[in-house]
Amino acid sequence: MHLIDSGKRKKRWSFGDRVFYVGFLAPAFTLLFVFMFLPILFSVILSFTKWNGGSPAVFNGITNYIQMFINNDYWKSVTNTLVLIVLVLTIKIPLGCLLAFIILKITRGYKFYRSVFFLPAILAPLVIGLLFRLMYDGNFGVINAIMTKVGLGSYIRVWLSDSSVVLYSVSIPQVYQYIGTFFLIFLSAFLTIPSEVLESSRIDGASSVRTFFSIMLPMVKDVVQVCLILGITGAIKDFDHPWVITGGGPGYDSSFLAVYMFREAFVSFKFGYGSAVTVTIILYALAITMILRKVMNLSNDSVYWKARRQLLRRGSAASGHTP
Amino acid sequence: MRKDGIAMYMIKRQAANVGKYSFLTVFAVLSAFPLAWMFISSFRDSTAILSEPFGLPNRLDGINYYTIWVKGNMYVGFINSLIMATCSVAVLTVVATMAAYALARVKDNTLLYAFFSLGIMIPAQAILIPNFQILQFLNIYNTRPGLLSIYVTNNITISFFISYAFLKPLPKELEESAYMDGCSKPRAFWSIILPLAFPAISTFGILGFLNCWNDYLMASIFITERRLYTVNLFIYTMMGEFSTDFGAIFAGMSIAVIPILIIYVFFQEQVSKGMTAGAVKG
Repeated sequence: MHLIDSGKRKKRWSFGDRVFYVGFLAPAFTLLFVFMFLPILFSVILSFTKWNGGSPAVFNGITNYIQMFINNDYWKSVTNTLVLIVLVLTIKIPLGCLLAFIILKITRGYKFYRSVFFLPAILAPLVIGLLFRLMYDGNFGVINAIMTKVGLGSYIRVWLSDSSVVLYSVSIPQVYQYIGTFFLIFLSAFLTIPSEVLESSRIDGASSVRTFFSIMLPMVKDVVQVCLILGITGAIKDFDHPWVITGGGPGYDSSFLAVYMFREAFVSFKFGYGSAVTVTIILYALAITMILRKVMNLSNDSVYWKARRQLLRRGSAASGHTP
Repeated sequence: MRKDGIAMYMIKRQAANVGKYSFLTVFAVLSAFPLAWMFISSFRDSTAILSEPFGLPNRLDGINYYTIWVKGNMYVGFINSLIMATCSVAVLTVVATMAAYALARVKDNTLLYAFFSLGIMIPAQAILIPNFQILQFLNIYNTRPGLLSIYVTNNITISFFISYAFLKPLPKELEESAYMDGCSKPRAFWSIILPLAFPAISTFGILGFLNCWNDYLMASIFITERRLYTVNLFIYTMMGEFSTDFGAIFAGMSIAVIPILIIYVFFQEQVSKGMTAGAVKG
């Protein structure tokens, strides 16, 4: 019995067809069910228990959550994560965007720059983290060496144990490594802007800056939204970098939420508590995603979009073909 | 000189050009410098690195590589990572394309599609603890199949999306002509669709390989036996064992990085597409 019948409305499935359909879907479904769907359920259930991995789990209601919300270290991790998010939003994404914008304006070396910019993003976060740790080293680290050579020697700190800077020391590799990813995303987004739009704005005398903010950015609004979500959720999930550089220390000064969760669960063996932290991580990520979506979609009603829609309608009417 | 004359325009344009190129070059240097420093230092002796961090090696001496590869047993990690990454990609290809084929070409189902989209929304770390339990329960904790299941599951969603988006718009005539010739459905999949889907497979295959090779967190939790350690786990423990032999550490990191670089050099398009695919699909 043919399943794919062009034109026939009724499709009758033979037993063999059913076996085939189920059989092809089964492996993916099973894997996702066992290793993703069930764990989500377990995470929530576990968050209400006290479990150390060895003896059976003991149900203890919302004790974990209460302990978590009065725990200073937890909130320190949250604020650390927020600092990272701010850094991501103010440095990583804008820089990626700026690089993409500029690279479109040069004539030679486009491919070279593109390859080099994306290079750090493909490496293991662990390697980048370790590399930075070695660079921060007091004895042979290049960072101190460069600073002394350039004359900023008085600003040298013990990057990895000084509580006032360790958070930034640990955030920098994360921000650094993924500028290239956002660069590439923005680049492909900018490339989808039809050249007539850019040319007409140039003819009208708009400067590059004006073109960028008033035309290019709004046209890639969806991509900007995706980048924001990616950047923020990436900051929340970041683990390899802080773990290999300082292990989250000193104390919890350089722990982000993910590091805090790991330490409580796999180092202190408080799996129930760790699950509660995990649940909060998921909720934060979901909340931020939804808030961002709402905020970005609200501006769809702005004057700009109304004008644009009108222009498009008029334009297509003038050229004689309907959208 | 007139302010709006041609000469002024040319000068301004040159200045802008210089500005753009220097900005880009600064970033290129920043992007490449740490890696370059790592490679160069891996050929130097530890004492030399201590005294002069920036120097160039005296001789192209591979002693550090020998130290870390043989004495540090890095070859174990390298082989393990290779096995895990390639097997994960192989399983991933089969599983993801089969599911995408069923939904894209046979019968679509929004519920199933939504189910397969779970992966995008859930951060992999969120399910660490329960997976820890589940793997133990299934008796595959600290085994290759165990880590493999985790790796494949982590990459299924994006692979499925890429395959689905690729397979859906293909013309129906492809399979129809096969069916009319008496070809069975699985056979049509293997011989016709799968080879055609090669661009999609290469995209998510490389992405999956990268994710598996670069992973540290999953391996550190689900593998506890040294002989199964991946290359990143070795790097992490190497920090403790070889804490004074910096040259060896640099060599170890270089070893971990080289396969990725090779892939990048030869498959740059796919790598770029893969890494941003997750983002743009959003």
